[in-house]
Amino acid sequence: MKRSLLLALQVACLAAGLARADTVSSSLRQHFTAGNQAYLDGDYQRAVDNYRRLVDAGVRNPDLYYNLANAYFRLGRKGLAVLFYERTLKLAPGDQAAEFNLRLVRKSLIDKLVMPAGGAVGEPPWHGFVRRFSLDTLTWVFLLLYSLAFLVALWRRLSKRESARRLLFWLNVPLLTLVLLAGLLFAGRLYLHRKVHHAVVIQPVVQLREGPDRHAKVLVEVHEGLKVRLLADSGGFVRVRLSNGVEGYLEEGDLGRI
Amino acid sequence: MSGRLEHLLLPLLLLVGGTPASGSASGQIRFSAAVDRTEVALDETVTLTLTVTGDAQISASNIVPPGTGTLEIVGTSTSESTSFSFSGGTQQFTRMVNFHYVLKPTRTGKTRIGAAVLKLGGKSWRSRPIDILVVKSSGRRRGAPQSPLQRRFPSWLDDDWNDLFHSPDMFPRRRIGPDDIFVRLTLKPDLAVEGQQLTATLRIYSRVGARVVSIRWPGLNDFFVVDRDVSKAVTEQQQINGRLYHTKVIDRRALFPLRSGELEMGAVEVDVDTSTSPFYPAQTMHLRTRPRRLTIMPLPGQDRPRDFHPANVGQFSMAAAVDATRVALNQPITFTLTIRGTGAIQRIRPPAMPRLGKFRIFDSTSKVEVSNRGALVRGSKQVETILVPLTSGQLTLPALTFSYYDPSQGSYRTLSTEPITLQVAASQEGTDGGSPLVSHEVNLVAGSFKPIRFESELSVRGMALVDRPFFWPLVALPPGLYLLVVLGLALRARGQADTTRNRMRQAWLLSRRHLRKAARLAAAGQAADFYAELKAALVRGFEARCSQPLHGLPLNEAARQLEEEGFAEQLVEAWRTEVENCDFGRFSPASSRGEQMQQSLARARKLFKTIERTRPGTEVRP
Repeated sequence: MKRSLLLALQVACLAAGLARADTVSSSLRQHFTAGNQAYLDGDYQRAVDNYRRLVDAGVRNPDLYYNLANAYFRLGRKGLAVLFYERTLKLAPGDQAAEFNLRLVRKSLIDKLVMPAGGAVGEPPWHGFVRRFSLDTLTWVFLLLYSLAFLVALWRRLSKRESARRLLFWLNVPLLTLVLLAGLLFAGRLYLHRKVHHAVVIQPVVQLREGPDRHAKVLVEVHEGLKVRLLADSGGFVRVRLSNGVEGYLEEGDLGRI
Repeated sequence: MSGRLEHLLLPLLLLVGGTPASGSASGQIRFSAAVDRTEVALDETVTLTLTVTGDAQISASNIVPPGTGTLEIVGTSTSESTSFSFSGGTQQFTRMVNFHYVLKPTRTGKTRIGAAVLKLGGKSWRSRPIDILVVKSSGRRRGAPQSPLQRRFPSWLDDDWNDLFHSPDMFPRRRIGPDDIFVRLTLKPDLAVEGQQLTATLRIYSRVGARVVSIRWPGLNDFFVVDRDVSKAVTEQQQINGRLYHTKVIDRRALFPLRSGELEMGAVEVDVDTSTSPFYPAQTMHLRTRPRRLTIMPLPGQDRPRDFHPANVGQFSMAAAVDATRVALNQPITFTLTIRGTGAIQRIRPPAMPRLGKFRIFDSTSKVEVSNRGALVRGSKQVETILVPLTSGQLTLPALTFSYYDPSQGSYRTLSTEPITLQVAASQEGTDGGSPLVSHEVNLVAGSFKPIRFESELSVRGMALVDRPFFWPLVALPPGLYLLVVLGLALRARGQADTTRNRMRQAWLLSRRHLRKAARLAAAGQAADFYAELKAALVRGFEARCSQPLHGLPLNEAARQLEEEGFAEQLVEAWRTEVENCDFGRFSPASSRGEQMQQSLARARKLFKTIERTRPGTEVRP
């Protein structure tokens, strides 16, 4: 039995090791430092250039995105600032500094259609609730609880004493309840991760059109920083829904996917 | 002639039908009651007609309506006809007045319409009661005759104008003149100053059935225009030049003159569908108001405040507030300035927040709420400004002033807010702490943002865990592990069960173990132990091929059992010889040399090979 438990522990450690975030090389790290220094010097464009090198090298890091968003805002690129604050919050939900700055940026936007916490029009409120948790966190919580529940069940199976078996059974009841709750949250977050995608308008002014064509009737002009929900791709255009429920088509290049 | 006179007189007579009847009864009066049906379904109506014939003036006030039992009165109307005759040089006329009551049943069964009473000149007449049978809803609804009211009102008039036409069976087909229907535009007040509200009210006057189709206003470029809601307007009666009209407000606009001087206002054009009879198609009429010239006075120059804006005309109040008076450094606060009152709320210019060195000020946003009810434009304008304190300590937001011109008082007024004091704490949660001046990130002095991050592991968060290839195997691992263990336990339990098969397998394994040990002992030259092990191997080895254990049986018994199990006699004899040989070797080990032990071992192995490839009952030579 001990051997089985040890084996399970080893497997879990192996998985954790596989999932462990890699750190960037020292050369890439230099760009981060250089970007920070440029930011301090007030050379925001140089700061952006340095941060972008890291982003282009595939670094997905909330601190990097956050600094980049700050630099973009200093340059007056509010759309890109909103985009990278949103990306920060996607990787690190609840990041207070990012939320604070994003709120400030949004106050200066032209379009005041802020995606409410409960989701946009027509979106169920649980979207907003589940989005408060990061997918990786929920995944780990679910996996740990789930593995623990199986380990307890296994332990009970191997145990020969009736009293121990009974104790382990009652230990597993609340554990399985937690597994169910964590599983529901995880499934909801996974659904949002796979099926619900958002983007931010990054051009100063773009036209929301009735169809996926540049000659289609303009429904409304929207401005940079507006968050929209992506519904479907359509040959260079994307069908989007605004938070007030209005749907239309935007050119793909005008949007930055969160 | 009489018909034409009737057309002209009857509507007026009916419209003033509510006035008390004058004159006394003269001549003979006949009073009767009749219904259009005596059996009625629940979804139908029955019409009771009270007819008064005579030469007296009769009005509704002379009639005491009958009790209607379970029937409910849903409509009334009156019709009247007069006939003139000359007899012997004397003019006589006979009047017949019909009072119609439309009754709707409320439940099935028999009911009775009681006697109606006509009171005239101190006398009274009673009609006879009428019994009515109310039955359940029937399918004859479509074919059933409609009540007089329903017949009189075509469906195209079923809108909010219906109340105009509740006595119009007096409107037979005739030509509709400009005196029958017209529109008027009123502008109040008569004299206004620049920016003051003028209320333009469009009213229709009609003596015929009418429905407004469209309203076209002239260009109002010299005005700021706010539409007013007239959906709740009611129809009234008004007498003009001795004629009674139904009148109703059909549109209203608040006009705020954008300049002073003589302003022209063109005619308002209204298209109306009119009808004098339900039996003839509607006639569209084009109505116009007369153009107007307005004199707008300039705003007085005397005592005009310096901060006054010409859009600020009306009556207003002002209030200022912040969402928090105790804040942390760099923490934004919202300053809200609200102006309420009557006037062109959308146009007014609230005071702007002055430059404040100790605050960073973001662009303001404004929100306007205006009620569309009532003649006067009322509402509020709310301006929100985000302020971020850049230094700690006690900071003050200065008083703001707002000047406007009050037309009702004919003077300028100035409103002022109170200064607001803020307590700004030096530290701020989530920032580097302390004053931004001593902070690591000095560039934040000019800003309000949370600073950038200098320390970061800069770990690469690649794709999400769920998108990595090992994720689903990882999910499958705990149940897989559990199943493996359970399966192993089941197999183990099966192997430990006390069955013949297990016993034979155990015996075979044991015999092999004894044989290996015997080989080691032979090599070591330990004869006694060697023969003991070899015998145990021989017994266990053959036992593994038997259904019954041999261990512990005397040799003869064991040999007999082997024969019973079907082993060849020759094989059993060879086994017995070897076992006896082992017993001999055990008890006289000194006589056994190494070579003999090796030979015994070889023979035993040969026996094992034989029983490995044979089954009991087969003749095999050892």
